[in-house]
Formats: sequence, C-alpha cells, structure tokens
Amino acid sequence: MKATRETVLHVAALASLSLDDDEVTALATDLAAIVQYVEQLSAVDTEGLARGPITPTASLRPDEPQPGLTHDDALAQAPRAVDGGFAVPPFASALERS
Amino acid sequence: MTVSELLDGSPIALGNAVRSGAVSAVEIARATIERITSRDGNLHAFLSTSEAIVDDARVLDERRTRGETLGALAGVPIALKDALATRHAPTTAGSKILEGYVPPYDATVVQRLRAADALFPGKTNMDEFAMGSSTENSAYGPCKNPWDATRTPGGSSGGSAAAVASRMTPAALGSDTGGSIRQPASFTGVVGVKPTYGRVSRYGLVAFASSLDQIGPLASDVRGAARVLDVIAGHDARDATSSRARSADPMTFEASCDREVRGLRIGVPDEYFQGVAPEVDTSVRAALAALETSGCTIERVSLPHTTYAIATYYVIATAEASSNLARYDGVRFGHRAEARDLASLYGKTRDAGFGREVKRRILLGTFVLSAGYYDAYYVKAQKVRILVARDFERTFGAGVDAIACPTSATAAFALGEKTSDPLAMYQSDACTLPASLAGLPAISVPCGPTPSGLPVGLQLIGRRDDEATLFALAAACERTYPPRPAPFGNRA
Repeated sequence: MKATRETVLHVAALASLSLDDDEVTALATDLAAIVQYVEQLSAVDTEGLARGPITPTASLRPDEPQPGLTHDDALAQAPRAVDGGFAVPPFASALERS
Repeated sequence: MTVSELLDGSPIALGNAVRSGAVSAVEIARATIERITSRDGNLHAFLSTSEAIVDDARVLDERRTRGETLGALAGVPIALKDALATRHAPTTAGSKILEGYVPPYDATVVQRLRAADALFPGKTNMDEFAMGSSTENSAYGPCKNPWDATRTPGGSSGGSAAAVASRMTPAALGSDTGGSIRQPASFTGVVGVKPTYGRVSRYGLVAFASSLDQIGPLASDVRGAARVLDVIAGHDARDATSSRARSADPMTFEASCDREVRGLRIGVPDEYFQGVAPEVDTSVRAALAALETSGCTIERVSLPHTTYAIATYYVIATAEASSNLARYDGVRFGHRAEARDLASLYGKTRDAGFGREVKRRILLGTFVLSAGYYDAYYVKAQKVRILVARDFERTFGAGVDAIACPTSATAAFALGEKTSDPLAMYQSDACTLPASLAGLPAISVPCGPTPSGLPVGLQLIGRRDDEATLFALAAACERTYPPRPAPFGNRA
C-alpha cells in the first residue's frame, strides 16, 4: 500500500488535524516510508495466534463513590468557561453540512 | 561529607544524612537551586523550577528537630519528567498544546515521593508527549548531553537523565514507553530502570501508549534507583493496569542490590549485537566478562523475533497514541485556537498545538486503525507482539535468569543527526523496544566508556516482576564501573 497526499488528507480529517499544504506534502513522504517499513510484518507467520493482551488482565476497583475534582477545579484550566460550563463555538452548522 | 559531596553522590547517602541531621534539608535545597542556576543554562534539562523546595525543606528540618523520623528519601531532590502531573505546578509534556496547564492533582508517584519526604526542584525537558529518542522534539528547545553539549542526552526522558548526569539532582523520574528511560540513562552514564508493566501506577502520567507506558527512576547509582523504586512501586486502585503482584522475593529492591550473583545464568542474544558500534560492543562485552568473573554464567541465546520489534512497536504505540491524544481539543484545558465552528476549533487547535513528530505519529496511528488497514497492520502487529514476548518466555523458561545486551547500538549521537529521518530515529530504539513490548523489567547500568569518553550502557532484562535479580546484577556491574559525574557539570 502506498501512502499518498490523499491518504494523508483522509487520515488527517479522521484525526481532526488541519494541515497546511507543505505539511501534507512532507507528511505524505514520511508516512509512505514508514508504512513501507512496517509492511515487513506481513512476512511473519502468525497463523493460529489469537490477538490479545500480553500483560496481566486489568482489575477494576469497587464501583463506589470517591472524592473527585470539584466543579471549580475541573473548570479552572478551561480556555473559555461560561455559566459554569466549558464554552465551545457553534456546532449545529457543522452538523448540517456533514 | 560536604553538601557538594552529598549532591555528587548517592541519593542513599544524601537521604541518610538528612535523616540523621548531619546536614539540613534547607542546605540541600539551596545548594540544588544554585547548581541548577549555574549548570542548566547550556543544558536545558529543566522546563520549570520551583524555589518552594526551600520552604518544603524547612518543614522537614522542623519535623526532624521535633523528633520525627523522616521518610526514606528525606531531603533528596528528585527531578520530575514534565509528563508527570504536579498539583499547582506546570505540566507541559514538552508540548505547546499544554503550555500553561497546571494540573489540579498530583500523580500517584509524586504523592508517594512526597510521603517519603523527597524534594521537587523542577520538571524536566522531554520529547513532546514522550515521542522521540533525543529530546529534540521538545516544543521548548532541545536538551543537551552533559558529557558533550554537541550531542543529545537521548530521549524521551533526556532532561531527567541530564539532570542526574550533571548532578543537579541525584535522582529523577522518567517514563519509558519504548526505551525512554534506559536509552537516555545509557547516553548520559546514569542508572535507568524500566519496571515491569504494572509495577508503578501510571495515574497522573500524561498518556502516550497505554499498553507500554511505565514510570521509573533514573539515579546516580544502582542502590539509589532501587530505593526510589521501593517508594513508588505498588498497587494503586486509580490505575486499572496497576499490578498486585509482589516480587518473588519479599526483600526490598534496595536490599536486593546486596544479593549474591554467583551462579546466575545470563543470556546474551546475538540479535542485539547486530549493527552495534564497535566501541559499544567492546564495552558491553567487557562488562559481561566482569560479570563472569563475579561468578555468573554467560551463554548465547536467540530471540529471533527481535528484528520485528521496531515495526511492531511503531504500529501499536502510534495506534494507542492517536486515541490517547484525541483528548486535546482546546475545550477543557490547554491551547485553544480561535475558530468559528467546533470542527475548525479542533483542527486548528491541534494543528497549532502539536509538533511535527506528534502529527506524524497521530497520522500513522489513525491510518493503521482505519477501515481497510486495521487487520493488516494493527491486528498483525498485536500478533507479532505475542511472538516477541514468547521469545523471552522460552529463554527464561530454559533457566536463564537475565538477558544482557547493549542498551543502545551507539553512544550519544550528535544533535540534528537524525532529526530529518524519522525511520533512522526509530531504529535507534532497537535494543530497548522488545522488553517494552513484552512488559518486562529492564535496567540500563553504565559500563566502560568509549575511547572518547562517552558513556555506554549495559541493558539487563529480567523476568516479569523480577527487578530484584536485575538490581543484584546491576550492583555487581557498578562495582566494576563506579559512578562518574559528567565533567560538563563539574566545570560549570
């Protein structure tokens, strides 16, 4: 598989990254080389192997209420907060376009 | 011992001196600030420093005067990689997207060090989001190697390694996803420990690749690293992957440094010596000969899937990173770009906030997880990861106690040498990635330097949860190659 400018633009959209033209060109070259390199994995015989975690299974703590961040702490680092909530620009217009 | 000698020496001696009252914590704190002021100008090991440690030290001295017994790391200045959340202190992870971010909580490791009465003089430089092997991907400028300022200190925990090598602090914490503690430890001539996956809580560590990330100590000597790990290790309910397993041996890691190594079987894998620089090969084989003289058995072993570790790692780590870094959206914390709608806010914020290497890895990770490529790349890499881990299981199952090899194929490389070639940079992690993929503990301990005086690291890889054997072997190695502070720091 060859990574192209179109591949980069598609993947950048999936990853919510706006890239300028120069970046797209440079990253397409990098991505093509890296993808070509990792394709060596296709030569490895993995027949019959189930994919799974190689580290011990995660353990969950009891589902009991614990002290957490206060409302003020949670909002303290927000670039923009309004009326006790995180402020975002309008998104309805973007939804209509999609 | 003088304050200067204590700062040049082991964290153990320093902590014991403060506990006994032979030196005050305030003297240590002031001397640490002076060292950072005089030595860090050219190195750039620190991204931020805190003079509040003098007040913290004064409280320790008052407690001791009242008759309290202080903790195991009393008055020991410990530098913290800037990926560790610190309440009321900036935490940038080396990224513009977190510029000015001040976490509302401490990472578990920070809480535990604080409870052991350590001091925190500052946060250290790192590759952005720990993505790099030279600390040149820091958004705040590169860190330099104290042994030769034209070279990198390695990465991504390069700032922590440089801080210890130049003895601005006798110990530091780093994080290791694919070698980010061990390789900089090797490049700067200090001890670096990547514990077993799950040994140390990741709560409060800025996430890069969650199935690989692990916090660990860097220190001026093996015993000091062991004591720091004794303090930070252990189960934490706030990290679901935190292990309840104890070492097979109930003794502390520090005590295990005195354990007899005679009779231990050390496997030396041929695959880790392919492409290794001749001066590194010579140094590592001399260290193996020294361990043999100490009574260890050295035997050749084979880990045949080693050659696939780089490709496997860069698929899995970037896939996990693309998911973990989705949280940086300009809404709840961090940098925010001006935008007229939400989609543009996300795109512009992330474009302005992330550096080139982070974008490269997000794109690769998103690509290998995307429809049509998921099975061919991501699932395939997960299966190869199992084969890499089975190589180790087979070797340890045959009775080998530890695996020994170079930490890095070369000594510290020049600043700028690999920045234009991402694949060349990735390949510099070849010796450290396999243990990360297998979740195994590994230590880098200094062995003999190159003819030009650059540090070289011997890597020791152990069974899951068996850091104790690694500390015993590393301490034996250290008896042959005692710690050397970097001359750059001494000149400053």
